[in-house]
Amino acid sequence: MIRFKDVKKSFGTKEVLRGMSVEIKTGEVFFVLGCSGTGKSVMLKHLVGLLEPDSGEIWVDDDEISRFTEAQFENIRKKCGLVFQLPALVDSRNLYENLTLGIRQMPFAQQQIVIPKALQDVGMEKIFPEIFDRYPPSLSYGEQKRLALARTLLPDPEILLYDEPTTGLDNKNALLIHDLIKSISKHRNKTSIVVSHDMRNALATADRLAVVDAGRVIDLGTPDEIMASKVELTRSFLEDLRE
Amino acid sequence: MFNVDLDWKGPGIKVLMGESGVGKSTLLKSLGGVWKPQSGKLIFGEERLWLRGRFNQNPKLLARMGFCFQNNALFNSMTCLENLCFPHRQRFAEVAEGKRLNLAMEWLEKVGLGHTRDLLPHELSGGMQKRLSLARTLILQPDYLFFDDPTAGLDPITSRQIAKLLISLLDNHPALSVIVTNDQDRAKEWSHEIYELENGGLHLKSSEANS
Repeated sequence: MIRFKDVKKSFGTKEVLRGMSVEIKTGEVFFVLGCSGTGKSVMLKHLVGLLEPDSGEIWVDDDEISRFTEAQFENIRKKCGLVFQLPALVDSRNLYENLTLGIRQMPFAQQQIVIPKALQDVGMEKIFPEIFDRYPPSLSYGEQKRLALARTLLPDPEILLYDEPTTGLDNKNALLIHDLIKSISKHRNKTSIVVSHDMRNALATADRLAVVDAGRVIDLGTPDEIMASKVELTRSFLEDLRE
Repeated sequence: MFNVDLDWKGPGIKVLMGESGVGKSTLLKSLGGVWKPQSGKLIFGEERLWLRGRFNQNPKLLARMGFCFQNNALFNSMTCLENLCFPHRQRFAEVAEGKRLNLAMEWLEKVGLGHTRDLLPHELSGGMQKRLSLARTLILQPDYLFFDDPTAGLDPITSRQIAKLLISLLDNHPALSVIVTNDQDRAKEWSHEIYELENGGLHLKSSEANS
């Protein structure tokens, strides 16, 4: 269970989270929708201690983490895998070194079993024989995004946080990633929070969705409830689907 | 890593789609003179982009091209106004500075950023940065325009606004424009000529205008 309770966060004079309150259940695929600059990514960064709230409470299972120290965050970070909006790969390291950043303690033989599986999950199994020879700049942007996702999946985190995982991907690969998000959550009982602008896939993948505006949740519900919503911003987001 | 043959006539908008990694951006950057192809010819009108025996692009042709990058590639240390003035100064050195400033202000107004003249790019939202990037490309009035996924990463509302803005800007500018996108909704709004790049080459996917 993840819970935000009246969380506020400002950057200088700019208030980004203005009393964010929401609860996400274990095993749920939860999508967060909203315009740019409304605090969606900021919300995810609070969960892994990259940002500290000005006030309010943030719960991850039985831990209230909003005032955790760096040392205390170590366990939370093992529990949470974050897929960044940008691929955030290390250009000077080969693909194998990038993929194993979170599993360096794992024996090499075992890595050779789990890496092809993770690459297959993101539709990049063909690249496995080349991972020692190739570097991130040799991949397209979409391939970099998928490799970054494989890297996040490898340590098998309990909670997966996706910050726009399909931005820059074509429809086929976007669908593949959304199917993957759903199957990981269902078959391995992982909690997934996905910040996304992809309305079609969000509605097909989510258990519940929240629409965020000005740092607060203004609409919340199952895909059917969101489709029938009367909230103006939600309806505006759904415009492409109605045409 | 692919062989592409194309013969496009302008003015108009061509949309380029395809799976990630298939080479959409590579093709666009090759067309836009950002990258040199390993082999083959790139001819615009009567002129070749890469002249035999020279390492640089044909400067006359390059001056007629505009490229709008996916990540905007704005100058972070320059104000919005200077982001427009700088490339204009590089290309049209002969234009008086007062005239240039007025022109840059006009373009800021056209893309709805008149109030941002003294702001730095990082002070703008993602959609505003994209609008600035479009203005910076179009202020040079190029004959050939290349846009790399101009709505990537934008929320649906901002994405629709950018798509409409781009259409209105291009309507008043008779150029041959190529737009790479993954967004099918926007692709249909931009053009009837949608091309799909696959490993086997480039195929016309949709051409209602011609049917």
